[in-house]
Amino acid sequence: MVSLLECHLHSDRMAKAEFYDIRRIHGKSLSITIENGKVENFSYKTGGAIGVRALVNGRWGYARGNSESDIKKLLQDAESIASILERGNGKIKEVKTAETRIRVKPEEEPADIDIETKVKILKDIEKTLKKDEIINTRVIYFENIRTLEYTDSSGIESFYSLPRIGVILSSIAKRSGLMQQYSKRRFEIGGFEIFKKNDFYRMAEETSDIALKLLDASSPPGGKMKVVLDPGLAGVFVHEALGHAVEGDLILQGNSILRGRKGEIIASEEVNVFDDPGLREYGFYPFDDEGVPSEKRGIIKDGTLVGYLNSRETAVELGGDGGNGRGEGSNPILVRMSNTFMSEGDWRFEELLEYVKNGIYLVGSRGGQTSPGDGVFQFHAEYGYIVKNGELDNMVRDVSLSGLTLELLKHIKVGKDLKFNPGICGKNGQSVPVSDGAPHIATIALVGGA
Amino acid sequence: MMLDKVLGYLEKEADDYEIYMERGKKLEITLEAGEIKHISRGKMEGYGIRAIVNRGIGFSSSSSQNDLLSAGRMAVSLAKIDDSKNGVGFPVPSKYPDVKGIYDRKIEEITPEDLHEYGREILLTCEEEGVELLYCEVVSEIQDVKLINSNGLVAEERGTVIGVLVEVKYGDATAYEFESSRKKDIEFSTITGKSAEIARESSGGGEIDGEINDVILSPHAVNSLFSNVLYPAFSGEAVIKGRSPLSDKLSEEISPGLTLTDDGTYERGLFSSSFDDEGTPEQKTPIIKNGILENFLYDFTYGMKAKTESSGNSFRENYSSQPYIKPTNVIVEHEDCTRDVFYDKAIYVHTFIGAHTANAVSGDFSLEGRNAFIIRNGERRPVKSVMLYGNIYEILKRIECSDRNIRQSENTVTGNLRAGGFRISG
Repeated sequence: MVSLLECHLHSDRMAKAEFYDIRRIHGKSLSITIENGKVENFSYKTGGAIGVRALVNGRWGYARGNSESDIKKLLQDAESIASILERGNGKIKEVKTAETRIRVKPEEEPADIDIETKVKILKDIEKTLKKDEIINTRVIYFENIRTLEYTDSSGIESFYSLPRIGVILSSIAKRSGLMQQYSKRRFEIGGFEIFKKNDFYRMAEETSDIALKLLDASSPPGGKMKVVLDPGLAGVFVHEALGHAVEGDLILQGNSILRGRKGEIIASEEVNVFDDPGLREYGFYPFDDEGVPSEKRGIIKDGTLVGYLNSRETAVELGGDGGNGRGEGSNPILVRMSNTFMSEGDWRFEELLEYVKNGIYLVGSRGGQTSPGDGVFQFHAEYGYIVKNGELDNMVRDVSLSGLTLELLKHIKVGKDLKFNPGICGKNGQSVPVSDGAPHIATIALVGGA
Repeated sequence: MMLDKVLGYLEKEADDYEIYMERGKKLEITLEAGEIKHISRGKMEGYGIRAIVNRGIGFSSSSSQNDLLSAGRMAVSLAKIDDSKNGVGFPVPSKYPDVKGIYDRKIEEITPEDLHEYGREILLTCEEEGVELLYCEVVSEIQDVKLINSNGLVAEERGTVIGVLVEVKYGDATAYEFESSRKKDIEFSTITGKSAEIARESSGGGEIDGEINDVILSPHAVNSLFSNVLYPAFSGEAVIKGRSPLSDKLSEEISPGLTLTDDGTYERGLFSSSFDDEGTPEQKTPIIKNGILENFLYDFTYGMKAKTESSGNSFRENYSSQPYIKPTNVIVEHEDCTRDVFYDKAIYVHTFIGAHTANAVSGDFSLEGRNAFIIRNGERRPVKSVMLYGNIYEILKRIECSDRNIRQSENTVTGNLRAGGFRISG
């Protein structure tokens, strides 16, 4: 493989660009689906891409190709495209980029395990999903490796190779024409040790049990009320309502309610939120897609907004060194989250229920979405329980929560049991792996229901 | 040539095989915070191979010609271990329809300088309309697809698309509009103007007062809702595997007055082509006709399993994804609304947030509507926040009418749609 450094333009021509950088990405992945007892999908994919950007006269040009593209040509293309634009204010922070070459190795290399063995393990787990009134069972497995090589006009070159692995279990229950689905998943940075670290047989039993219970669950009530969110759902709130609103590019676009509010109290004083790409959770990376080494960043401290998330570009105006610049494949860099979490507070779960007294307890997430410019968010719980007199009562299903971020943040009570959940975040058509984390929390929100 | 090598290998080692090849060029411009941010130009190519051995099937993809042979080998080794018996073969060569309006040379001729002009036009329009530009993207794409399979099928087609997304802010409100076309006929200032108008009308949003249960969905909202919570139920694969709530409802009336037709030949349709992503000729399939559920959608594999034909609904997100069943252009028809009926006592919703979180298995959804308005007594009043909850199968029973402001939003071609059966909180 040609070293990226060899592609730097040196004295053989005058580089017009004030700055440029080059990313070469490669990925390979294997996925297996077992559905209703049969292998449904075997797929093996490899792919590579190169993304080059150049800053000329304060304007950016991007050129993208595949792994065989001539990098020098791409750089020339990026420069000539940038030169079309009128003079602009584009800037980039010169930071000490990582001089890293790291191959993150799993404890158990999936490539060392033959595919028949993998299929057998997955089929065994899938069998456990089968119960009476369960009409569809599915296990989806994937393993992949992403490599990234990065260099910029400062000449530093860095590289990492990162393995990811995941299992999704899903069941559909049916009775008298009514159908409900439930799924559980584990995604990790690592390899086949995921099967030792997790009891997928127990998870399969729980998955089908909950799918069955959902058949009897009622529709949720509607209206504003006190709620307790489990770590899964609280994590999605942290990501959707808060995380996106502190992304530097949205702030600079004028598309965030948190613009210009650094130093303000925006949440209850129990709230502390961080983004840390150095944690070995699903959003981990040794350095971001602009070469900036991982560092933990504070977003909220004791209820006060203390920091935004930045790329090297947004850092010029908003401060800091970047560290959250990511692009899917060779796509242009956007500010993205990595592992975003709310740290522990003091409340025990029972205390939170007592505090809510009459309201709802929501569990698990099917994802969510936000309009950060309006400060409005929506997300969906997998299921919940009515809270009556401080105790859990009937099960409810398909509950969604929406509200105004700032209102919800002011009323938060924070629990003691921080957990992380993996996910894929989409923004402007680009998907990146992330995790979100939180303990149980209680607050006030608008619940979607009858 | 790499292609010949892998074809030779597959001829020998596989009972059946298919190679899907994609080549594309993309030009885009991004604007942020009232300024042109960057222009990007990219070329991509990729290959997806499926191999069948003893009715087992394997898939492998690669972004490089150099890896084609190893992708072929991988597909064959996976096929040998696969015990699904899904390897039923691939489509045979057929005559393809002449589908109009899916390639425009003018799009292929667009240059970065042209994009620059469009960007400036959009910025100028924002100034004139008195709104702040938050974010904007204009993307032009040309794509070449070639498909070869072991039945001697060879199919090739070139397509173009240009699209724009404009998000603006006015006071305390933001709004976005987006539009795509197979022809270079998008008027950027018009779309920007539409986005600006919605933002202006949305500012100063209040609370919902009074009892309103009818909703008017814009084409964007219809597409969001239907794509996430209804279209998956039409998939023949979902029906066979027990994942579709409609599996035992063929020939039943599920939506009085509604006709939904999947039309892969729709002129200028965003998802139109002569052949689907496996090489089956594109066609028209009535899914719901005058209220009755008539057909599910199939690809080759599930068409065989259901003892029927493929309906030309095999779709790949890109070369690296396995094909699955997805609608092409869903044409929504309902009786026309009279003006009085349509535009009164309802909540109008421009877009939804969170549509991807809806439950395709039960049909339940609970979504936040954005840029929503209460329409009452001839007035349109903005609402700051509204949540719509319900079950799509009940909504289908309560669709009242559609107006004639037809446009295509992603997979759906529709006017504004008025329906009851929603529960609303705000």
